[in-house]
Amino acid sequence: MKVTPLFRGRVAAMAIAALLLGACSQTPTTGNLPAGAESDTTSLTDPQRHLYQQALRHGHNGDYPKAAEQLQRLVEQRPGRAELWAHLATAYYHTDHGPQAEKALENALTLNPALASAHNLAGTLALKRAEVEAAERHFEEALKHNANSADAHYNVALLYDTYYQDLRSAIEHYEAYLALVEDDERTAQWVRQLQSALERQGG
Amino acid sequence: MIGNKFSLSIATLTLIATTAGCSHQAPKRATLAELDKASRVSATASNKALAGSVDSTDAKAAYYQFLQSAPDSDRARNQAMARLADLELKESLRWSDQDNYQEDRRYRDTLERTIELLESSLNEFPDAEGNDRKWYQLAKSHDELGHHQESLDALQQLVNQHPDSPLYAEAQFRLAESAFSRGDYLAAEIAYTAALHGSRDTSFHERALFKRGWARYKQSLSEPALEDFIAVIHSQAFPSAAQLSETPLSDEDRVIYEEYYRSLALAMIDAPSPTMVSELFRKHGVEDWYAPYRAASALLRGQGRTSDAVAQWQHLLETDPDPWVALRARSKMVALWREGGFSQQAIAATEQLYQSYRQQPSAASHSAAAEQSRTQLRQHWKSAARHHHALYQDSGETHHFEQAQQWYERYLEHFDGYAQQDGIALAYGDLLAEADHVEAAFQQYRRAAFDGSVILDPEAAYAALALLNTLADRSPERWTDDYSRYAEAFARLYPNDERTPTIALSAAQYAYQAEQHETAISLAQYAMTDTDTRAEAYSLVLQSQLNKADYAEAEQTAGQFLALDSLPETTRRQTRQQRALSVYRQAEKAEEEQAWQEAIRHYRRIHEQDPNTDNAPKGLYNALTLAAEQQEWELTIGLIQRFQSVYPEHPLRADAERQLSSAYIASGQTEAAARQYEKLAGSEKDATAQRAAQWKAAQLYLEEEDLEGAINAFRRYAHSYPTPYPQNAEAMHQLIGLYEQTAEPEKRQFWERKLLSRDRQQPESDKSARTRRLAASAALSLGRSHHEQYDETALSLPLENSLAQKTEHMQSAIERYAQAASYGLGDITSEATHRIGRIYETLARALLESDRPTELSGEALIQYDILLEDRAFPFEDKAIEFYERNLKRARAEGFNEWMVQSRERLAVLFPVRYAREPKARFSVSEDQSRRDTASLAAQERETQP
Repeated sequence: MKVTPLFRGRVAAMAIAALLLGACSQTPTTGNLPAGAESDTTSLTDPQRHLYQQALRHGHNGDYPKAAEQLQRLVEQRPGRAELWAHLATAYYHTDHGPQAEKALENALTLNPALASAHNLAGTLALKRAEVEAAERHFEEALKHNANSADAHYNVALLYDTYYQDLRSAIEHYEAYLALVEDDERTAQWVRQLQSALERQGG
Repeated sequence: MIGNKFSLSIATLTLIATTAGCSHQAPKRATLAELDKASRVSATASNKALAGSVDSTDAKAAYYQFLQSAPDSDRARNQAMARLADLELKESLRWSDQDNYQEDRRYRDTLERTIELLESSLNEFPDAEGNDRKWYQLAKSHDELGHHQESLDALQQLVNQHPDSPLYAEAQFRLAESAFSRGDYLAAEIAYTAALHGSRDTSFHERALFKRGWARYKQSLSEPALEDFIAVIHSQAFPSAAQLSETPLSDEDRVIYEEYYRSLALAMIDAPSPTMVSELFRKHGVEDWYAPYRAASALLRGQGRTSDAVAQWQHLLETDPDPWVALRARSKMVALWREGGFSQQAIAATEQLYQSYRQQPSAASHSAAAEQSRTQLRQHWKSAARHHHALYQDSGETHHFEQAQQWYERYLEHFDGYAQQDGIALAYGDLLAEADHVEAAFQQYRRAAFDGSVILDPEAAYAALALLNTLADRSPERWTDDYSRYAEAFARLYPNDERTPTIALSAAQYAYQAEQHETAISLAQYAMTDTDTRAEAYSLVLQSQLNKADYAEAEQTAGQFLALDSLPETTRRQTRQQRALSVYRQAEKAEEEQAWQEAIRHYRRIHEQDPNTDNAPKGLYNALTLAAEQQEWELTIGLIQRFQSVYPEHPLRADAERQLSSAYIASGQTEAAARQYEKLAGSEKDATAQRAAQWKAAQLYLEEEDLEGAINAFRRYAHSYPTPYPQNAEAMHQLIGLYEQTAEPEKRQFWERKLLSRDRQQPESDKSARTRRLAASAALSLGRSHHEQYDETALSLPLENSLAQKTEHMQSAIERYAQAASYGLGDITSEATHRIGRIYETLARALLESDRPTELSGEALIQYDILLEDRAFPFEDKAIEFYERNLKRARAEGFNEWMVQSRERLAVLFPVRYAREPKARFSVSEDQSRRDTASLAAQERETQP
């Protein structure tokens, strides 16, 4: 019997999926995109949407492992959905699964290079690695695609503040951040200190 | 002279007698004929061995018996007596065949019986027929017995009584001869004349005529004598002098010829005047005038009368003879003067001869006489030339030279073709050479010596070559070719002549100077075996071969030359130089042809053969260079080592050794290469080369991980070559690294300080980015060292001491860090800044963690802690200040590891600010996700066509 490339591709995809499914119960997978995966713009199915919302809730509430589990299931079903990979990466980041987070993030940006949340996370990971310039680029990219990304403003402000010692720029982004979030008194207080320091410096 | 007595007419007389006898009839009873016949039969029958003897004996007996019985008047008796006389004469003849027959009685008896018989017959029968014959026989018989007068008387009776007898002329002749012998020349003349008239026999007539001429000559009757002699010579019809020169007479005829002309000459000499002689010659139609004058002249010459002999020729000339005869006459005159020792006269005559010859209308005649004349002329002119030549040699006077030259030139003008065979060319060459007319002399010598390349006269050839040597010296471009050609011919023909080597060598030298090297070599070969010339010859051949680029041959020649014994040391040295050069050239040729192995082999050979020559080290150097180019490293190394050992002081040694280093490297012998470079550094005269070699050596040690070697090499470099500064700084930098590896911090720090010290001393123009980095690194390293000491110094009790110590280290470290930072290099400044921050941070920590004084407790201890904190916190602030200062550089210089570390320390020291995490939170609603998705969709749309 003659084996066609199509058939062989399908078999390979099935094998990868089986492996992912098998692994998720124990440790996060690297979450490679299936071969030939394309960006998926079709709407999630209802169950998928439901599951997605659950995952987001878990993540928001700090239950990152659970969120990761659910998102993993979702990307297996809808590997072409960038935001699913981005959220999965975020879950991994918070569960200290750095490599998996990096991989998921790569998938997300592959599927959607303009995904602001993905860039924000990429900047965060770069900063962890002390790759300051790369982090800055990702944060700027995030803000380019989503000027209202509060996290991105915060992170840029943090970078200018604690790395480049550029207080003026830092204050600017802190303030943008503060404008987008409902309540972050700690940050607001810090901004004030910075402004005082800036004034002391004569600037 | 007339022949032997009566022999002349014996046959005739016998015949006449026989005829007369036969004409007369014999008596009846027994005839005389029958007597002869009977006796012949008897002789035959008796078969005697001596038939004649027996025959005549029997006949005689028979006749004598007959006479006894014959009556006196009987006519037969007369016949018998005549017959008996004949027989007796016949017998006497037989007896005369033996030696000393005249003493033999039997001989004399027969003659006496003959006389008796004849006298009886003549007395008894005085008028009988045939008595003329009996008188003749009687004369003869007396003559045989020595009765000369009786013999003459009988002859006289014969001529008186029988004037018509056939025997008359002979009888007169014999009477004339007798008279001539007695000196009665008149009687002789008369008798000869009678004999002439009485005979028609040509030969007898000639003799009689000749004798009459003599008889007349004896009576000083010159004219008749001359006429007789002229007639005699005329009758002989002798060939002319000209003819005789072509066809000589037989010896016998020559005798007669000479005798007749001698006789004529005598008469000519005695003639009253030369004119008479010439008139007689004309009168008698003498054709060959030369012969008589020649004879006359010769006769006088024989008598030592030179002038008279010459005068004879002059007489001939006065007769206006044939031009060639005249020339011969003049030639004879010259010869006579010369033979007589009259030089001046001889020369004057020669001049006349020359003038005569010049006027000779038929000078081109090719007759034998003409040739003879020419031959004589040549000899005379040659003699004249030699005469003057000799005088010139004796006196050196110019006019003698001119005279001699004139005669040589005259000779050459007319007899050029004989110049060689007569030795004129050689002699003339001598004359010219003696007068220092070198070129003209050479031309004569050349014609005397050479016929093309064939040598005719070796002495002339040698003389010509000697002059060529002078000529070539004066004008080499004109004469060198001739010199070479003739010298070669001489040498080839006379290779064993003792002069050949010198000639050949001299000619070879000129050929060499004319750059005719092939010729020079060829000539010099002839001089190579002679002990006196061989050294120069070898040298010349060698140099010629070099000049014509026959280098292999030159090498061979040099080898042969050097093999000679007792060669002067200077020559030997020079030859070795030349041999070395020849091999060098061979090597160069091979190199041009890219025959590398061959070229290397040749270059090496120079050194092996002649190590002390100029080209030997060059050759060896070239060999090793080629070997290196061909990447034959082992060979290269071997050759270089050889060079080092043999030519340690040679200027090329340094270059060779440079290549040795390369060869070592190429062959993987890095350590050896390094040593070699170090050695080079010590031997190079050029400071740059020394420095480069030292540096290369150090690098090679480094490459070989020979730390000790590298340290030594770099240390030498650093000490020896302070300039250029950048390289010197590198050397110190290497030393710093090496001492780091060998864990010798003090030495490392020494060089770090040294580097900083030198860097301070350098003008900015000598510094570079690299030197600044190296200096900054050194300062940083020193700072680290102090930093370590600082870290290692614990703040123990008593705190004042340890703190002072620690503070000192701290200050030193900060000082060095600040020094490092002062170079403005981002990474180094960042590290230095961070480390300063770190010092302050750790000092604060150390203070807080320092030992507490044991006597403190309670409140005092609390106060002490507070005091420590007060002391420590400023240091923490200082640390934060430096860390933040470090971070401030990030924007401009990029974020480096030291900034990372500073950032990390800040997170610890100032967590409120620096320990905050970035935010990466989940979106709280699906709206966010949807926005993200919408953004993607919008992007996709933008990318579509």
